[in-house]
Amino acid sequence: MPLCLPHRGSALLNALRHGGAESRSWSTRLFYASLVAVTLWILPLLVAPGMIETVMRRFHLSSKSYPEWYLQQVVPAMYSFGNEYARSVADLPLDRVFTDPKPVPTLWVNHYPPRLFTFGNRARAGRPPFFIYCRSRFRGHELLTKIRVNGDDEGGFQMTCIEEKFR
Amino acid sequence: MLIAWRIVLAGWLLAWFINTPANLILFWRGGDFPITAHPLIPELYRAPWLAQMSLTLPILGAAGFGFAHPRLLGGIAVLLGLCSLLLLGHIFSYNDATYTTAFWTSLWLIWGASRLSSTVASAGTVHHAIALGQGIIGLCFFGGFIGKLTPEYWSGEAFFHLYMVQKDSPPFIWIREHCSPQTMRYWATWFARVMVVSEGLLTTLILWPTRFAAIGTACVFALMILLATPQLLSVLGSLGGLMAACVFLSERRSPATEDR
Repeated sequence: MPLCLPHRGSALLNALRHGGAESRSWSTRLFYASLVAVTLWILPLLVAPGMIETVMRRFHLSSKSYPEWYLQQVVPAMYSFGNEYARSVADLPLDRVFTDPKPVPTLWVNHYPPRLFTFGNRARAGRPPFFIYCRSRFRGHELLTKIRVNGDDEGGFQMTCIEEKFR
Repeated sequence: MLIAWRIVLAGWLLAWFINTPANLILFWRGGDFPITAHPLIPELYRAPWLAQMSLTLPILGAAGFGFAHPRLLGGIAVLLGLCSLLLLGHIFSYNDATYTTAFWTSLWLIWGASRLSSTVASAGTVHHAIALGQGIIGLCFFGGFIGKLTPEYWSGEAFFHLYMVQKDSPPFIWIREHCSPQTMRYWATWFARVMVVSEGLLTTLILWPTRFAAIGTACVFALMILLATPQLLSVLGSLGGLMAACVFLSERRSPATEDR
């Protein structure tokens, strides 16, 4: 086989044409299959509301089960959706929090809106109880979530999702 | 192949440990204010010790620069992958895309380590190492690209709020002081569109010749880090190492890389 310089052609085509015995290796095939599988998992997001809800629930930590959520965690989703976050001491109606005039300040978040509470210094979160509100929007759909945060005797926080709406 | 493997390892460790001191402090403080109940995340994945351990254990990966035994290097790669996975499932760190890119890059390290037993990698292995490396980078951008195909991004609304209004770093503080909201919105719109199109192009990276892939990746990474936030170094570092390894492998011209 003549020497083929990989920089002179498409990386994938070079691998397909000149892969040799490596192309028949099960671990190589499994690796490509995993890339294809994740790609096929992401694509329906453009057209399937059920998929949008599944991924938005991943972002709001409200998937149906931990394994379902954890499996999705390896799927790249940096800076996806229009995400917002709000916090209030008063229990506000979920539909009102993100509509003008907004009753409390809201913040935009690149991904995973609850991270503004879960990631970082919760000492600044204020004394519980309080409420966290999250909204994610994508192609005309949105998921709204209200989380109640209570305190416990040891200074910890107890999070409970008390309301959610997908439309 | 060993040199390429170590280039990827270097990028991985550099990216991982850029934010580790800050994250360790956060996780330590997080332990003082634990989340003791959550409807989804189990107790183990809310334990501060698990996050702290997963964050620090990859320091053992530095052994990959001093030893060359394929099984040891394979073990290191598995350790790095496991630590990424643990942090992706932990309530303190699930949101950090550093661990997503680290996870995919560690898969390449695991695959690559199993090819280190022969002194000279076959040309086939080199070709697949490059294609898989570029494929991983493309995949990491594919998720974000699809997630941005929504009016909130294309109109610039998301970037306007995330960067022009909320970001407290020098260029954005200056922009807020010197530009009207209309101007900021205009620039946010074009910034968002450039990023969406750039990410869209990078999703096809596996099809590109490696030199062009390296140039494209370097341009987009630089744009993201300079205009968005230097914190992205931890997310992009492992992918940068992967791209550098692809370039290294593709520039090898020795006939020893011929398929045997």
